Amino acid sequence: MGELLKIFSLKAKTIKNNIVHYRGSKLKLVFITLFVLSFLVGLYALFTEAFNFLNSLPIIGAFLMSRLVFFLLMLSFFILIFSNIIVSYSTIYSGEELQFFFSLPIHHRTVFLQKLTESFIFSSWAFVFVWFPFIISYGRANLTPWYFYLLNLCFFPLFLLICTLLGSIITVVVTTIFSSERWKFYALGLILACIPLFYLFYKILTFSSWRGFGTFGGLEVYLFQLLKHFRLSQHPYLPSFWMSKIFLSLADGRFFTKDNFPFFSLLLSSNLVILSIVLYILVPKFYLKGWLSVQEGRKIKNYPSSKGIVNKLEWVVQFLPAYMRTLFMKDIKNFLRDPKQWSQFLIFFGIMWFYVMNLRSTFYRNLTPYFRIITALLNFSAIGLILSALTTRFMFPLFSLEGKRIWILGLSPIGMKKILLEKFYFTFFLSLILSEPLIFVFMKKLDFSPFLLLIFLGSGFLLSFTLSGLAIGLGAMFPDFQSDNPTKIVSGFGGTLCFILSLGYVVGFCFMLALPFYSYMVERSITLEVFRRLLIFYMFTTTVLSIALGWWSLGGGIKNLRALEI
Amino acid sequence: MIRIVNLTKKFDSTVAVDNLNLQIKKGELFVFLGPNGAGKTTTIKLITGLLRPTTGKVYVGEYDVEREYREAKKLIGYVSDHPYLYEKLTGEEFLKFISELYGVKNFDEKIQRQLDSFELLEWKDRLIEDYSHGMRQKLAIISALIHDPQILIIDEPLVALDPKSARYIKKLFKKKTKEGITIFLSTHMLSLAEEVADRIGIINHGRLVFLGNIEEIRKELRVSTSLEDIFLKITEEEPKP
Repeated sequence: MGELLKIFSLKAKTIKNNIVHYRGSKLKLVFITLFVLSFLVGLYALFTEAFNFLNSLPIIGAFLMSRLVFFLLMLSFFILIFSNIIVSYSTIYSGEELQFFFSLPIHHRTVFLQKLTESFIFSSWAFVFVWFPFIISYGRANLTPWYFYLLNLCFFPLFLLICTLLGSIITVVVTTIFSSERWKFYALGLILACIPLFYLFYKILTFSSWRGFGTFGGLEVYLFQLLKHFRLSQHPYLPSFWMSKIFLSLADGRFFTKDNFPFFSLLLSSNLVILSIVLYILVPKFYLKGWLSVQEGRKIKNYPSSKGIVNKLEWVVQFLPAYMRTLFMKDIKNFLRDPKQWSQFLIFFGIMWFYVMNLRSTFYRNLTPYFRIITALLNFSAIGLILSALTTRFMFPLFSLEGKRIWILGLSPIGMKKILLEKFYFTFFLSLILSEPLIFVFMKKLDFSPFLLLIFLGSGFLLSFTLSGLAIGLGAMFPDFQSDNPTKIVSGFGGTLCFILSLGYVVGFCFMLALPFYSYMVERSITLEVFRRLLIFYMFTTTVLSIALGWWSLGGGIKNLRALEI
Repeated sequence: MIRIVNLTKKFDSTVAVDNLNLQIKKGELFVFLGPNGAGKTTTIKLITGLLRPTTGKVYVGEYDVEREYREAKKLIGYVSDHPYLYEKLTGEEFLKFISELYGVKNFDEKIQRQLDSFELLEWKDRLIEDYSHGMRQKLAIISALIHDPQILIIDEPLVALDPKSARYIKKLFKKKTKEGITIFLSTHMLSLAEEVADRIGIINHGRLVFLGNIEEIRKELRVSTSLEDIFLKITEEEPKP
């Protein structure tokens, strides 16, 4: 325990020094604080709006609200398990700090506990950010007693801990089994964690009563039928069910009724103790062995230049100028040879493809035009948001990842402008091949006219252009050549700014795209002819704005690179 | 003090260390030489318990590193080729952390003394992120010495050090061996080996191809040339002009 306290004290000192000796821009601090605050306030407003709406529904309002708690907690539970598996593997089994710790006479149980704590924090903070405004708005909308807030503050951490312990137990067991074959770990962990999510997804897609939704009948009926398909959230073996029961009984003020607060709080706590004991038994037996195996499992691979699909790609891009071809091949090889990069990329777009391919055209064609266009706009927004997350996460760090090798490019006769533009073309090309087929498929499934298909494809083209420009331009404006870790690069000021701007751009773009449809289909204030003209005007305006934003960002990047002292 | 018995380490089909047998006495300064990828760092990681042997044993003091790793590590001070330092700690804070972990008593005075001898006293309250490469190396060496280890293991000790600090380190090594500390150095710097080594081990393709002092090498190879020529002859990797 003494060793653990010493490590915690060391970590506390590093955090303190980080704050006291903060050298970043003050503007960045203000920007991030404002963003976080507006995010919390926005979520609070959104939840309050939703709860007020549910409260306004006679008879079923309270029932739907309780089901919402069960469902959201179950969803959080599976997401937390998934994120805990990923985070605990990278904190508990890899990282230079572990090499340092294991060279010291520290017990491996201490190392594990310290890394488990890190894993708990890294995987739970986002959950806290979402649930904090949820609890406050739920409490205010339902006039809950004061102890509702206080006791939730005690029990939510226990729920989060259960997720962390479960995630790390899975990680320890899977790593022990597959430690020498890391890709097997990733694959199995991913499949295991995705099964419940895929199940949920499948349930949504195969919801029989979707048929007719939006054409007739009341919303409540469909909501009830939809909830029937989420019976899993009522499963008594799920910790999210226990937490939901605690949450709801605290909200009701029904403290000591049968099957409520005392029973479920004890159930949650006792399970936490049991999981801790399981981990306490597993760690001494398997942790050190697993860590050593992971160290030894790093294979040396050969990549002969004459073999492999990636090398064949060079033949495909023969038409490009030599310098661009070389840079393109370098970027694509770096990306594909880092499993951490492409696996996350695949998850993002894999889920989107899975969804789009499961859209049932026969069903959607029977919807009213109003619901079809809403579906199309939501799909388009989802693609835009995923694309903005992808360009920020993967493309923004491209320039910084040249790192300490930047002088190689800087000294070459190509020039920084061409290098930056190559990265932009690379990103733009990738964004196009990822977004345009998705847009084409869902528009076809929704059976829209060629005119609207063209509008949406054109919008996708613009989104890809501007998001690529923002990511590459801002990446060059705010480079971090010291770090080799893309996640760390993205979490800096430039990355945060890129994410916020990209997000704002996508939201603004989708809002503008929705406006003509809203005027025509909801307000019915314009004729079809005016609607068409308005859409063309919209296309023109967004094209100008998008190109201006993308070009501003790229221009800023080029300007910064010219002034860069390598 | 260090006993390596039939040590083999394989990574899949690659043999990084091949049936190594070695015994290093108390107070001996042993220099481990070898070309790039010969197995030097792997051997060091096996001694410090950062890797497991495929076969064979490593004993540090009387402890089997694999089984009694905590006891073994208490005897060792280790500086890796890329020392891990906390960028957001000051030099003094980092040394205090290491001292507390090893249970060093009255460490404040000791830390000041060591920082002073390595000319880092002025920098003790600055963040490590502001240290130069050489300063980081000095700090890593101090952290390895702060708990008075019986064995000092250093991978490339003079990397990034200025001539004055390099000379200080060489003197320090000699002083420490006289005090009974065993030193295991891995280096590419043949001049360092020639200057300080009691014994030299040359490793190539995971195999120990020579073990002895410089005089013994010269005698065996019947050459009177420099260690560089001897090294290239043994490892047969003389670069083409």
